Amino acid sequence: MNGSADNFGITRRQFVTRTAAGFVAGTFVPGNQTLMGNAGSGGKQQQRVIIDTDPGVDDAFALLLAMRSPELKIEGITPVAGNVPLHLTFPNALRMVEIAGRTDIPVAVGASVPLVRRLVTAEYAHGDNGLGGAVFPEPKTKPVSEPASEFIREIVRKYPGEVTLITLGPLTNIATALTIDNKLAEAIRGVVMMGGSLSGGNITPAAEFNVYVDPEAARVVFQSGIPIMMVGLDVTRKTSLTDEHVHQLESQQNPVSQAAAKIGRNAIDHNRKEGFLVGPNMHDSLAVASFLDSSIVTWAEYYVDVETTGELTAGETLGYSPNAGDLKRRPGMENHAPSTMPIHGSAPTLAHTSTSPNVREKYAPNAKVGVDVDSKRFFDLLIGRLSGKQ
Amino acid sequence: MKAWRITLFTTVVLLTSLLGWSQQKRKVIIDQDAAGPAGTDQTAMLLLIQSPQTDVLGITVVTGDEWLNAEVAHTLRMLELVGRTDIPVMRGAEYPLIRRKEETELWEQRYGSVTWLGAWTPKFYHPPNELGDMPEGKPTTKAADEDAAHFLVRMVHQFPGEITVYAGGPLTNLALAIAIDPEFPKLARELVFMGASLNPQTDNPEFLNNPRHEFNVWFDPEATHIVLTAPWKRIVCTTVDISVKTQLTKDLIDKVKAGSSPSAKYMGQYSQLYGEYNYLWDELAAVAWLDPSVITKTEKRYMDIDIDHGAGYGNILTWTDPVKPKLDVQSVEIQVDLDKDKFYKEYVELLTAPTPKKSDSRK
Repeated sequence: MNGSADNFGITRRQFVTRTAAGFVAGTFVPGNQTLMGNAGSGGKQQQRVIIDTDPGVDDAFALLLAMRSPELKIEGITPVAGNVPLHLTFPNALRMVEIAGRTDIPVAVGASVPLVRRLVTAEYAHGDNGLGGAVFPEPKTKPVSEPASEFIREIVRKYPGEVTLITLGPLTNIATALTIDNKLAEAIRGVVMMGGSLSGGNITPAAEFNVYVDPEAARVVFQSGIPIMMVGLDVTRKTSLTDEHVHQLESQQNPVSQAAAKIGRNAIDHNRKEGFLVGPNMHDSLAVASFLDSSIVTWAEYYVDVETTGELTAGETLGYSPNAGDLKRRPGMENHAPSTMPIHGSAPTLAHTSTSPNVREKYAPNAKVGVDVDSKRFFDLLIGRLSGKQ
Repeated sequence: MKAWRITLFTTVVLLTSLLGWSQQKRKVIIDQDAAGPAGTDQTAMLLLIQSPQTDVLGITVVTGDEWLNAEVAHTLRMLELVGRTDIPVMRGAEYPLIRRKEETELWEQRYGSVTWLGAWTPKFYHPPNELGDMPEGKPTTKAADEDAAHFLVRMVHQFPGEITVYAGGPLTNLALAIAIDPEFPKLARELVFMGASLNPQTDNPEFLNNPRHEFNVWFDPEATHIVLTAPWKRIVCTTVDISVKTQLTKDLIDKVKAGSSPSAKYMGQYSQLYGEYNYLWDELAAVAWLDPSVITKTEKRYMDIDIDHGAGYGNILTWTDPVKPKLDVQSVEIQVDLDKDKFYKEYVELLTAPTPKKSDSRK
């Protein structure tokens, strides 16, 4: 660790050990240890990330934000089918790379369909072309030859313990990589995920879109033992893009700001036409921003699993915090709760999984879930970076 | 007159195809849960390797009857003993896509014990990183660096339309290949798999209460769903219904034992009878592919699997034409009956024959 700040606040080993020892929710919220602070103080090592994405209006913003953030060493972008089909998300990803002048970043084509289910898309929210109808030229850049799952595996193996996966779409590519190479999870530093919700869904009453599209893949990721930061609807609902934001972007004459303004303008108009009262939420950008500066979001420790069967609830993320609220116990007694709980319904499958050799207490937290967000600071960062002012 | 012409035509076609076989070997990739030594998994692989018709491009191993690591070791050792270490062995999935041992144990508490849990069967259980008993000795050769799914994808692109994918275990590797490359099933010649159970006539408790439960497809239901709904050109299935019509007997073992080839020696030394049911599960799938005339009756069904995590999780679902679902399902050629004498005869002949030499199409 070399004393450097870690966005997960703890190393993987600490995570496992301390989880096993039992800890009180909130203990490991990273607080003021932010990457931004470090990057600002000059010359600190960049964080290696792979961005798995289905652009997508908010994905496009998130990609541009990431490519304008010097703290990140973007090892690759892996488009996947989601908001719109792969034949759109993939060129959209290439378009963003070209707009940002970052054609040095490899793009590896991912899955065209979810692991088990039929693909569900969200043109109603992203427009037919995935960018709210904003039209950009056909990309000239070509993808790398490996499929996304293989590309992810190669990069992670090349930099073991260093790579964070920022996932902005359905988790098909990640789950495939983790299943093909069942030791891969140990070498991944963390997952920052836009996905899930502990407070109701958007595509169904229960499910958030990314998890709904591929619940089986999401389950593989949540059970992998990789430290997860879940940026779900609980916080991303509070990030509506406004006309004022678009004006700020329009006023700056640089390609990224202008492209973001164009997508933002189209997306707001699209939302109005569809009858929505607010602009599109910047779900995915919040995931990137929360990795850049984790103090923008307030985090709580949860055991999260995914419903893969439910008649009404397929794709729902369930969060359980056995050591919080009225279930809180005194230090040393935290793990009493899960071990004495009668088990009915879904099986607690976290204990020992394909992707995690670590046997852990059932229902022990596996994710830090964003529970609140400082929207102003988020938009200051997002618009500041995209417009080139920051 | 007309009938005579048709007969002549058929004969010519048959002869031509037989001649074709002798010139061009039939390319096959073996995807197997390769417990060992001998036993249904290793024997089926050996039958395919022993046939002079085949060019075995590689063996992709998957956890099923045993853990992946042990299966890879048994397979490498078998290849060493029959002198075919040129056939590459690829490590595949160590765990099913979604099913977990813990979930399965809780399922059993609610819905009853599962007779055969493969690598998870309590009586034989050992951790995934241990090899278990290896009476045939440990291999000195190693598995390939490439993983199973990528090997499968690479091969069908190299030989489009030529490769039979023979699957004798859970279908995890094939599902992963499809996840990486949706073109994979289209580029294969056909899928031949042992799995599924429809209505087997047996008093075996494994099938008596739940005739729709079969281990290979049950162990990874989500993978089975992915594979059965993929666009293969042809799917051939050896079900439990026909498996239970076969039997490994002491007489059959003795006949193989009498041979002097390396494979006969291997089989003679390690073949065993277990309990009262000794079906030739994967062996029949292998021999029926080598000689389709072993099968005397087939039927067409559409097939999928229950992937709801309830009481029926992993049960096979089938339909006939008039009632099939509107979405996704593929037609499957199901073997219904066989010429037993022919099957046993070819089984013995193949295992006692000298092992063919390496084929040329592999680089």
